[in-house]
Amino acid sequence: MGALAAGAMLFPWLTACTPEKQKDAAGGKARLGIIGTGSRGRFHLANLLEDDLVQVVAICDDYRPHLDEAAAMCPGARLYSDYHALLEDSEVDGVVICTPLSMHSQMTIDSFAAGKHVFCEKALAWSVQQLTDMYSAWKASGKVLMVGQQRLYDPKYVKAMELVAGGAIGQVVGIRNYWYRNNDWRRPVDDPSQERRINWRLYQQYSRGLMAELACHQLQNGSWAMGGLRPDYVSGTGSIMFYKDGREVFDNVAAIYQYPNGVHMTFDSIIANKHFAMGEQILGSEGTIDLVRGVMYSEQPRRRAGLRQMLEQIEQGILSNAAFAGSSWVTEAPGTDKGIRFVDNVSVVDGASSVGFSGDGSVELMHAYALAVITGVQPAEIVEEACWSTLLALLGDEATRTASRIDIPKDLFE
Amino acid sequence: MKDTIITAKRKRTEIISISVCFALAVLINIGCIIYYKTTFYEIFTQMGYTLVITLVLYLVWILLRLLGRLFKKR
Repeated sequence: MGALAAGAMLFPWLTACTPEKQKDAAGGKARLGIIGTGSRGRFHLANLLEDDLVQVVAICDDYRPHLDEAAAMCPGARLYSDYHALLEDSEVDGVVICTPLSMHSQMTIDSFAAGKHVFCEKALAWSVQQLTDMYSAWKASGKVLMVGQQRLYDPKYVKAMELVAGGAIGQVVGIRNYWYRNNDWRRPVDDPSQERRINWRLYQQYSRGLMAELACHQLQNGSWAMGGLRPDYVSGTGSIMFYKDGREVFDNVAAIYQYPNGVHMTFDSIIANKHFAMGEQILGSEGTIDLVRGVMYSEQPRRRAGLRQMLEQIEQGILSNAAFAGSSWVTEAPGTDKGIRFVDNVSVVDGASSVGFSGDGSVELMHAYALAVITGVQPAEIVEEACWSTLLALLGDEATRTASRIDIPKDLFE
Repeated sequence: MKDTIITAKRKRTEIISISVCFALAVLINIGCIIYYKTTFYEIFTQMGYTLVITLVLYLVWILLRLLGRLFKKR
């Protein structure tokens, strides 16, 4: 939390995690109920059970196998199969909603109506209308709303954005995001009648595909790096080109978001090749930040020793005479700077799982939620950040599905 | 296996040869420093590369002498 506190000047939501605020919560307990105990719900549950500020008092799922698995993790919690019943539980201060996307909005609105604080997984909503309804309900409730955008609490992202804001990479000239996997995104289903419930991510009725499930995280980088500037429009394309198994959402998408200052942000995803895994890169006129790996590269790296430059020139002279291409064609090699690692202990995964991994800010995010539930203080601007990420994802999905350009409204969250 | 004798003259010749190769390698390094406008500290920091170049030059010199002897015998 030390690194987080240091970044508080630039990141208003982190002020809710300062040592003073932590003192305010000392001795308190956030009594939480988990709604949705699938893989993501159990991932959060495992983290919450390790948090001294949290007492998980209730869990809810209408799919019994998931509920049983979660119940085994916290034997003292009350079990519910209907979230309305959980919301009537007076011992629940706040809920953690980890259900399919299409359910987020109604569950969040109902939770506020029941006087509960809410943590809702990203993306926030299935449609723009649902999103604005949620935002209005939160505004009217006076309750805490936190969203599963864990990068907002990931120390390496916080540090990276400090570097960007401090001008370490010069002017931001581009933002490049990609997320590649090589798996069909399917979960095993024993009973065919449960197919759409278990594999809800594959069906348009419940899901907004790769844009909502993956891009939503990465699009937030754009808002961060651009200092709150929002894009004017998004254009995109996508298709089902590999997994022709009855799914309704695309297995590859590409979207381009255009900012008013001319900068553009890209998101590209394919789930039939994972070689490059995932990347989130802020491109500056003087450097590049690789957010995933926590490394900053300079556009003008320190010059190599003269002797080595000579040897490299000799080597290039030999290779450029190779017969596979004419003299007019020379590859433009990437920068040679080895970069500066700006945080330690970076964990990098191949993107194969959507559950989450250690060190990605999830623990800090849930701890911040627990603090907010105890103190009743809403971390500043986190809802707006999350709403914008969801909005960009939803409109990106619309652009990819219609292969068109969609204008982005800018007055929805004021 | 027979004992071999390396004469004092041979030793002197080889020491002079390897010294000349080392001097050439240092000169190449200095030439690179001037040409690429880098720092003269590289005379010391690039000593590893200088020694490798010394070895390469010395091996080339051995090869040239062996070829010279072969031509002389013919």
